[in-house]
Amino acid sequence: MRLVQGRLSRILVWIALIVAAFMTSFPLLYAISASLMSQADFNAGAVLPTWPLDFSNYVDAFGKFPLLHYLLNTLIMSLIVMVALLITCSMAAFAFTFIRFRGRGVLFGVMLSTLMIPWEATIIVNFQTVRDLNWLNTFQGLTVPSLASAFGIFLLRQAFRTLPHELFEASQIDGASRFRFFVSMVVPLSRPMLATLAVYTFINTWNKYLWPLLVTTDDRVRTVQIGLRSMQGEATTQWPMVMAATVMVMAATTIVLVLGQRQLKAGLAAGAVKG
Amino acid sequence: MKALRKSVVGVAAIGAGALMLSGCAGSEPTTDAEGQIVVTLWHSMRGNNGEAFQEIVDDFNDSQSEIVVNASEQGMYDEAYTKLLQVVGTDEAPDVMQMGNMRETVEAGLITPMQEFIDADDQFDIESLQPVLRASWSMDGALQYMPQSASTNVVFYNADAFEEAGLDPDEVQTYEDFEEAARTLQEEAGMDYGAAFLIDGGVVQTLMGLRGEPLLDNGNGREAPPTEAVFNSSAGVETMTWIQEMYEEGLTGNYGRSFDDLRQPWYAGQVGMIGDTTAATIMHTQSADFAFDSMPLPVPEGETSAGVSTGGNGMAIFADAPEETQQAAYEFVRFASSPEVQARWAANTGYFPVVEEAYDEQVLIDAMDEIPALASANNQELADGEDPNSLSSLSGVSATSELSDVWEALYDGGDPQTVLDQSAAEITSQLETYNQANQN
Amino acid sequence: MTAVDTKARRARSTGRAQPPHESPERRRLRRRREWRNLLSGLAYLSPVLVIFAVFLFYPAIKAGWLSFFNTNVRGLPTVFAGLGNYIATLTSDGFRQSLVATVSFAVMVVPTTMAIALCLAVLANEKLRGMAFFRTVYALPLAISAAAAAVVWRLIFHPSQGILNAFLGIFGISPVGWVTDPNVALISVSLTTIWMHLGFTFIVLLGGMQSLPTELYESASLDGAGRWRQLRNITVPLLSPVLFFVSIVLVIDSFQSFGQIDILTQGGPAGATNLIVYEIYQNAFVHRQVGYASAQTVILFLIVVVLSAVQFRFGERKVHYQ
Repeated sequence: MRLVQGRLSRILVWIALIVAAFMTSFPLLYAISASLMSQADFNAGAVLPTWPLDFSNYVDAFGKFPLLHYLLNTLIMSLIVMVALLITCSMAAFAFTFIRFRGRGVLFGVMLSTLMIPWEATIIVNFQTVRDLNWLNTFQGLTVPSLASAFGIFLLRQAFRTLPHELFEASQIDGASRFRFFVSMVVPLSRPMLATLAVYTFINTWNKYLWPLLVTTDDRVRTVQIGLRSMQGEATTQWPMVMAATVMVMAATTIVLVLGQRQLKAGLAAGAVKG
Repeated sequence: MKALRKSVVGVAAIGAGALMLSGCAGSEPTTDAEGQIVVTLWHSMRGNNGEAFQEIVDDFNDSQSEIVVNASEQGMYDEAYTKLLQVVGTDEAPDVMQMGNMRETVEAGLITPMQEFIDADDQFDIESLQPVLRASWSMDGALQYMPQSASTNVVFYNADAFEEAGLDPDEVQTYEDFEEAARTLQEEAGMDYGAAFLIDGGVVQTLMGLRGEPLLDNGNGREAPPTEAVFNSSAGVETMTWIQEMYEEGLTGNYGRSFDDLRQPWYAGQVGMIGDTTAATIMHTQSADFAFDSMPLPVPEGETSAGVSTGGNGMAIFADAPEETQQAAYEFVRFASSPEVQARWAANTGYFPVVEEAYDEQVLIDAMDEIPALASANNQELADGEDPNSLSSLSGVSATSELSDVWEALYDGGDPQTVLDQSAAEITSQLETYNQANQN
Repeated sequence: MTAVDTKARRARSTGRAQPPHESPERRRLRRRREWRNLLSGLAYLSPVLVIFAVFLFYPAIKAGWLSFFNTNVRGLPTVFAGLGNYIATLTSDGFRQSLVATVSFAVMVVPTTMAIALCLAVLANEKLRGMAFFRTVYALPLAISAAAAAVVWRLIFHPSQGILNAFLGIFGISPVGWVTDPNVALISVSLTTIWMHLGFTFIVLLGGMQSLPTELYESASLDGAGRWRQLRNITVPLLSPVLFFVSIVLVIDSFQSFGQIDILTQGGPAGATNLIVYEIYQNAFVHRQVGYASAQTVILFLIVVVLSAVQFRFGERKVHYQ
């Protein structure tokens, strides 16, 4: 469908685009603007910072809070989950696509049924499990429960099934060569979907909130989302500094998004259509 | 990187389906490289008060060479307590903590009663504690927590605005006086709202305590475990109706449940009086650019105040910690409640000292001379601790958090009697469940 | 269904059938191969199976078990309660209020997010210079965490410092208690959530739109169909599988909302934004009633199952598959 069918409509579409861009990015612009204000400007109800811009809030955010440490923790957590999830899910999807064995259909059904179990229904007991393993305040406590995803398996299986049929025939061998086939053929050929899943998993893990809130009680492996939470509720919240920290937190995932946007769009849409 | 490697090992362990059993808290104390006993301390002090608290910890660590206290801030009381119960029984649990929730921790056997340490210590005189605090932190006839940060809810008022409006704070004693003052501030001093309260059941607790009215049966849970909520009494309805009527008349503003959101408009001169804790006194001197002072919360016409009871928290030592660590923790606790430390603490924060002798210290005398609100807070009449109904409730189920919900429902136009009845029934049923599950 | 898919299915079914004349030797070999395939299949599946078993099935079952007990402060079951926790849940005003709030929240969030995202996708599907920039901007909320978004919106909604009340003040409108007024708070939380979900919804819808065949539009234009009719008669029907997928994801997400509640309102005021997951969290971790909270998770589980079933039953029928 083309909206633009003439000069007037071109201008209207442009206006609509710009207005929509302003509306969707307004909270971000406001956060950036507030992060560059002095506390006095902010208290006076300013909307825009005064020139020259004041970057001291960023310095403060890093100085008064272990923001860098939080960011690093979150990065480590996200990378562990991303890499491990890609491995476990592609292995599972490979088995569901290329290995014929008794009970495969049933197992796949069971796997899909896990999509129905709301994750919240498991947090209480999962928390107790992690506590009893003495995994509180550790990366394994943060990551291990989310190292498998039915959605990921499903998405990759969709991708594997679109591989040329000859590959399927070739896979009816077993043993070590099957593993080599998996690593050297299936994985490289499915790179686009793997990238989709990687970007999606990274962003989702980075943004996790409830689980890190439960399993981190101090700064050792605390993630930045929980750090953000604890910055407020100071006796008098220094909003400009909190905004500076928030902007830093948003910047990281925004970069990943800008880099992986094309992949994400194609992959998720494909998953949606074929799902 | 070490943590990363550890997590890889963890992944391998789970992959093999191996279950590691949790390591119990050992009976050997943790020590640092120099052989000093390490005591892990959790607290809820932030900002100015956090700095003052850290100072006490540093002073203690410098004062001797056997013990080193590691203090970490764990969020507001409720948040910190939630976390505590998450980690109880693991290596992550603290040895000593600044906290409330005394009935629950005692009944669950989480703590070692402070009385045991005091009885074995011939240097500490339990009589030196202020009576109201000693009563507040005792249960089953023994002192359970050591009082450390004691505060009360008071009214902070903008003294400049009072003067401009021709108001005399000494004449604001009753609910009616308070309303009138709020109205005058709005009319004469151009305030958006004459007053504002934090939506907080703790404020209701104070208002009821001033009148000697309990929230729960069995003397607010102090004579025996509470079984029933009684805050829907005629006194409760009267107090909550007062709160609601002022709001509906537009005399008080609604700034939600966060202290920060309540204080901002007061600092900005948009609100004349706020109900706030004395623990914020020194923080207010740093943020308010007008003269201010504090006064007690009011009582209804024709009643006299039974004296104010205390909030804040005490220091609790955990039974799971190795014995030597517990003793080391006690050394710190005793240090923190000594007159010199308490005087400095009071002068630097606004908490009032837990021991009477602290008032003889010069640092506190000077601070009270300099800061009117500090003097007013410290000169107000405290409850004597004889009447349990004037003390805060002692319960495994929090009546105050329920009362915060009540408060919001009233701001939303609910009928005080109906809302209080419903809440009381809810708390009573929760008490029943709690008593069943935790007292056998 | 693709060709490969059909072939794969045929291949699988022949593989399973018993060949009529099979020598014992071949049979033995086939058995061995089947056995080896099973082992190898399970080996590839073992990591996810272990994780699912320990962190999904076990907790789901254990939660069911815990729901029949009252638990003590340490979260250990002490008193058998039978159906007590279920009866308490189903008769409690708090749970009912929380359920109503969750449903109203989903009703506010899901259609609005989809409508706005569809508009954005239609706009961004134009071929104009600089479109890459706009597409990135519209997708941005996808990268923003619930925590960060909620912190920013908390400031926007701030009772005395917020820009929203300042803006209203210009027109002489008195300040609104965005997060302190029980009648408004759920709307504020919904606004925040709609914004948070816009990026994801937009990116999926745009991806779907870009894969639609252009010929249909060309012939429709030739027939003189206006833009509105093209949207209604071509785009939406063709996009229906994607819209269906997005609606399911959004409904599930609405039921899972936690971070924005925790930072913006903590379930208040007067329980107005106490969505179901927050209610469960409060009961399990703040009020320390693990048995009671477990009963609520079981009920939540049943609701989600029924809801998904209903959605599939009615959704699938309306979805247009190519």
